[in-house]
Amino acid sequence: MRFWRTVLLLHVFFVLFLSAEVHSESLKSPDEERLFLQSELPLAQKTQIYFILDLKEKKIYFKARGIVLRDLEIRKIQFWGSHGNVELYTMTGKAAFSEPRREKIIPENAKKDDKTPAPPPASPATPATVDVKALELEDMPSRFSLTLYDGLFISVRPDNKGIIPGLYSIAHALNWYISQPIMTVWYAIQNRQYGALDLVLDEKDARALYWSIHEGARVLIYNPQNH
Amino acid sequence: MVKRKKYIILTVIIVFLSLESLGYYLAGSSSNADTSRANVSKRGAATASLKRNSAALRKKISYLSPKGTYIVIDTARNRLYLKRGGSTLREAVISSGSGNMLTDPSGKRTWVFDTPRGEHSVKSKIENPDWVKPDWAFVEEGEKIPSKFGDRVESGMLGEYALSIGNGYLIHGTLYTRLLGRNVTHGCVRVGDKDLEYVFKNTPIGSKVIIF
Repeated sequence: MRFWRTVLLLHVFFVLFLSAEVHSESLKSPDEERLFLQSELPLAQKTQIYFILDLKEKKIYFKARGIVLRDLEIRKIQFWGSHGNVELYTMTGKAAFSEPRREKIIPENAKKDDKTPAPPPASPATPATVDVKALELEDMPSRFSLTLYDGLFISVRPDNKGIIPGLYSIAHALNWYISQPIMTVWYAIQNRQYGALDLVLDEKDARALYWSIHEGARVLIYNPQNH
Repeated sequence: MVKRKKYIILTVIIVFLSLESLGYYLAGSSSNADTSRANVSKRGAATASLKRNSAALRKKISYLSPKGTYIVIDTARNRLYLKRGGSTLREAVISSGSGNMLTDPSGKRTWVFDTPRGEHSVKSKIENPDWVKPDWAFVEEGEKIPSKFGDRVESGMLGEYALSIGNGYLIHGTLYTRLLGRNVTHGCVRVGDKDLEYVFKNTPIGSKVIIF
């Protein structure tokens, strides 16, 4: 009995400790805005597409030359770690449980032994619902992670409803609160920064993000609150 | 024995919670320590000056946006937008790259059929274009690559108009209109006849083409 009372007390202490430590900090907008624009200017000067994660507006912007090509709404955000309010990152990798794979085209002569002429790739009468062998948006994962240089990890999840997605969300939340502190300690031992961002998007938007973002892409994150 | 077991459990819990607490503490405290990055409000500049700086930066960024008419292509949704400034002049359903791969029988060359992302420009405009079949077209069909240029030329495949964006990539018409909206091409952008005519007539050479 005494043993379990001690365990319970430890838990209470732990929860109180956490609630005391997690805090948010809002910053003044003129400073932020200048810093943000200063960071965006060199990106807009290049010919590459760049990405802005505006955690205040809950938006992801695909941009080029300062113009918005597409914006995605972020349904839910969780941020962990010590990164600044306006930070520029380079994406170093993306990973998913089932990553899309490119189809390999088999040349016609390898497919057939006979010399009948090959049919055209698709006839004009082919319905739009035809199963084309290609990488399309539907083939992209909606649940994946992005690794950004300088120790920031982004996990993207779809905003699905139902029992299984619900259970998955609970498991994700447990994993988040348990694994993030340990990862922070692990990175601190190595004298490195660690941060994590959990984004929940509409399923199609999550796929679109996976489609468009690539290794080497520059990502500007505007995060007005720090834990 | 039971008591020892309890102590082990208790020790594990204490170590685990200590680690967790340390993690939470580090995550919280390092943002305070990293004031040079996080706490930008401590920069001494006055608000008015900051606002002037921001306005100047915003102006600089806006100068970088494409001048005149430009094309934006969304390969995920297979859409083409003809734009001028902030307004969309035309939206068209297109077909873009399949993302498939082809390797020639010798294994020396591999082609990846992606529509090239990034910023391009309209290099030339062609009416009634002929298709000069590249090597991959012969490899894919299992044919021998011809040595004569004339054997590569095929008419009527690209529709009535084509806009070249360089490196052999074209925005052109299609015979396969029912595949518009799908990723089926070898990297070119296929557009329906009416949309293509509008885009062709309203896009000058030199216009920017942004593909994502």
